[in-house]
Amino acid sequence: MSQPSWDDVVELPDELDDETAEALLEDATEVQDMTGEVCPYPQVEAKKAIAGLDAGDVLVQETDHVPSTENVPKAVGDDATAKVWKSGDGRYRVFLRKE
Amino acid sequence: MVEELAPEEVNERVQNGDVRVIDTRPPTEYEAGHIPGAINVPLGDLPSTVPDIDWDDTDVVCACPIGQSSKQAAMLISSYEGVEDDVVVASMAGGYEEWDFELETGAAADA
Repeated sequence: MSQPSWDDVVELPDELDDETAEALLEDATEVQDMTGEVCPYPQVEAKKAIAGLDAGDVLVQETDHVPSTENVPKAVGDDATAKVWKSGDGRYRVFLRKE
Repeated sequence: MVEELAPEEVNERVQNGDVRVIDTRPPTEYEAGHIPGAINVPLGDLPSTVPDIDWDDTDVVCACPIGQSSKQAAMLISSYEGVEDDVVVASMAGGYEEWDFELETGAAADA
């Protein structure tokens, strides 16, 4: 029996291509490295950071934890629009643009 | 949709011995205090660990800090072919933040 995968159950935000993600990362207002961190810490840190940003500012969270790519956008809710970039080798960047 | 069980119901079913608890928190948090009899499978290890667990017809409930990633854990377990369709794989609503009942301490029990 095949091993289950997060990709089958986690609802990712819209995905960015490499070029768009790279450009967005360079213009990011704040980048948080959440590699190795698990629920609920990334959610808490995202909400705190978003609260301090201005409309249009971008927060980026880097993670290796697939569930966070769904939980973090849900945690900030309507305060930010979320996109995700996948490296293909287990790294993800969640982009949160403050509304 | 994932079924959510209130901590009260989880506690009752744990006392009755008719549910299996999967604690998806890191080992340090698990060892500091967990639902009696819970099995510790940190969330990041779940995909690779699920096939190694001997699933039977006992219902399962996943528990995490706040009751959010436990829903994802429940969906992942349910998606595994080795878990029968009539086995309920639920999530504990509110997570350990809402758990006011007995806790067990110490290292992980075998899955």
